[in-house]
Amino acid sequence: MNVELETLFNRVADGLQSEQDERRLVRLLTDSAELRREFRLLMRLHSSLHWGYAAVAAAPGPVQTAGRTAPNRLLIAAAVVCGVMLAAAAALAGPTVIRMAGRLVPTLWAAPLATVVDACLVLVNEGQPPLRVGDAVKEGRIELQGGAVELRLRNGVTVVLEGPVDLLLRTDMEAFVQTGKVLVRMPRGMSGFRLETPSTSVLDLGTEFAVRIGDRGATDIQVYDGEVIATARDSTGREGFPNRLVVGDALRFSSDLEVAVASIPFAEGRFIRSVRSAAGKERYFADSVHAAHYCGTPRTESIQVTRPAAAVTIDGHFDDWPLEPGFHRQRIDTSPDDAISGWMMHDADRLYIAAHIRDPAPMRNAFDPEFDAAEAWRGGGLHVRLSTDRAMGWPAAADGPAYFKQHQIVPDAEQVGRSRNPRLSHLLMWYHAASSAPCLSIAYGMHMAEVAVNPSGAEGAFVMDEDRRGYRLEYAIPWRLLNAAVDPPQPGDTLPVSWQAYWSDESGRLWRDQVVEVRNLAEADRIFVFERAATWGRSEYQ
Amino acid sequence: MNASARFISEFARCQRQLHAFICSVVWNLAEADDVLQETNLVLWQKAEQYDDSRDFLAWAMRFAQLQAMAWVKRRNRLPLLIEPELLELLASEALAESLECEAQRVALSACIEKLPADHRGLIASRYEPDASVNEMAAARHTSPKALSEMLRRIRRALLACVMKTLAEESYA
Repeated sequence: MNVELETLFNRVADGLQSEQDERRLVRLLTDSAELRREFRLLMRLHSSLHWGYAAVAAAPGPVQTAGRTAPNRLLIAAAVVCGVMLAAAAALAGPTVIRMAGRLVPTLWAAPLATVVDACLVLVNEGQPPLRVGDAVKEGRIELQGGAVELRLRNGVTVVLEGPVDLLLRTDMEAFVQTGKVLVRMPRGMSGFRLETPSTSVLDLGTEFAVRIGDRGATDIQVYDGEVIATARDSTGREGFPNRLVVGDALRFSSDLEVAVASIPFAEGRFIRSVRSAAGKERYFADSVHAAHYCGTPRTESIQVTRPAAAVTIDGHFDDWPLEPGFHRQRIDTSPDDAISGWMMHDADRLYIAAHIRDPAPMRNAFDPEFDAAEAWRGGGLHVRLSTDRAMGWPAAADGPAYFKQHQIVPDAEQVGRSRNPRLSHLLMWYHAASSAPCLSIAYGMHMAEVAVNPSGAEGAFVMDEDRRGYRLEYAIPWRLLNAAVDPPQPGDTLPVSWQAYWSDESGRLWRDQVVEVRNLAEADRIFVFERAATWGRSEYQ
Repeated sequence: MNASARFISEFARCQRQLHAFICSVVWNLAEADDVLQETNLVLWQKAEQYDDSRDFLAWAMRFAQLQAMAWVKRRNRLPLLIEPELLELLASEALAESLECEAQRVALSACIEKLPADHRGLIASRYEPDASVNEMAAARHTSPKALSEMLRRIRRALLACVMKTLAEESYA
């Protein structure tokens, strides 16, 4: 190594060079191929050290707003060292190169692939580790049935998972999301994380972005900061044109390349950006006791559906309700904080539902009816499932796809027909806090593939309790929306119905607990009411 | 793998080499980050023009060269410190060393592990984002020149280790 060259290089590398040093260095480089080779060798060392150390030390907090950030050297530098090096590895060579990179910074890279830095209301499948704060996470699949987990990858990347989610964490720069919601936030100045979904590949260019995979593989992508390149892909691996998304953009990619990429409104609250700030410090984990809560432990098998004495005004006040008989249930006997009372009425035109739900975090549901209706129960609300099919009677012999799958049943045509019965309805009622609007979604049949969200003709109202620890809801649903306009339930009918109330965390995003009531007590508790109509209790029409 | 996926893979894979090349022209790490970012944006804009039968690194290096030259001109120093001819030489010679570059990187990983803990700590501090030798020296109650001399010795040791490792692997 030429001593003069090395001396000049070190001054340059440490920013201590004079103008004379620069001129001398250029002269040496211009005159000698050998010195140029040595100089490039030194610069590769310099670049590699920068690459290996820079990003890890720069893990940021969340960006709180979706506005474009002011110019920032490190954010502008979408190719800053470490991130892009690992992107290179992730993109092509995969784990082999990652391992090589992993030795670069031994004290840091010896760390586990990821660590759980926060978790809230986590529910995992039975037999899976609970993902507690501080747990190390290896490469592989992470499934959450509910709750949220914030992971810090060893290179400083933050990944927030919102259950239900199924994610395959491949390296610290690459993951695949099969279903659910995932947010990725890069350390300042770092880029190159690649997140794949069934219908897209998203390459980060220095940013914070989130994806949501819907039921049919469609992917919503929303960029909170920086920019990403998103490329649509179909099930055969064929890809569309890359799309560039910048801060404030939100796009929906179909799993069908023939379907154009659609712009959707940016919604700040669509994703959890930080588990800590979104959900407070409350945490608990799945176990067998909790699993029992998940399915519910009902006590009431029937509810009377009375007739109103006069016209009912849907205003959230119960002046026009007799309030007897109905049912009342505390989620935990010793605590009145989570409790529900429920009533039903009917007339020739409409079904009426009223509930008083005690809830320490009332009416905070964050799920947008336009985009997240299917998951809205997680934010708190009420599900009433019912049949208007007198011929099917009680108990209703109709099962959903989840039941068939769980019991390894291949349904015959008759079973499929019963499963698709449009007179079986799942009514989800919730209060969307962001728009201050009562919401209703009706899913039909046990397959629940057809869904009407906020259908015209239905009315709903919510009123907060004076102590702000509960709320009252009141709905009127025309029989036509329950496919019973010409043959509504009559006095004397006994038809299937089931109630399921949900409580969320303070953010209105994470499911906390539930109560299932008006349930067929002869059916095993472990069977979910959404998958088997025979579990529904009885509604006695007066 | 189709063209788009290949582009993304190649794009990611060449980042390190582009950065090293840009460093050899720009000299300042943070500014090299900026020039690489500018290069990346151009690469994405030109993605549809990429012919995947061609060597991606050579194609990308061309744009890195242009962005580096633009940076040299932006520095507004006349006469230009680095002439286009020198930049061309640095780029073309760097391309020929792409395989060597990868091997050195792997060797460096192991060599860092062999450093004494205090040397590793010093290197880690020096290469943190926005680190400054002047500020580090002030914090350590020493002069920037003395600190730079320490860094020089560590870099020399690392480089010697890398070359020794590669020589041993070559012999093996």
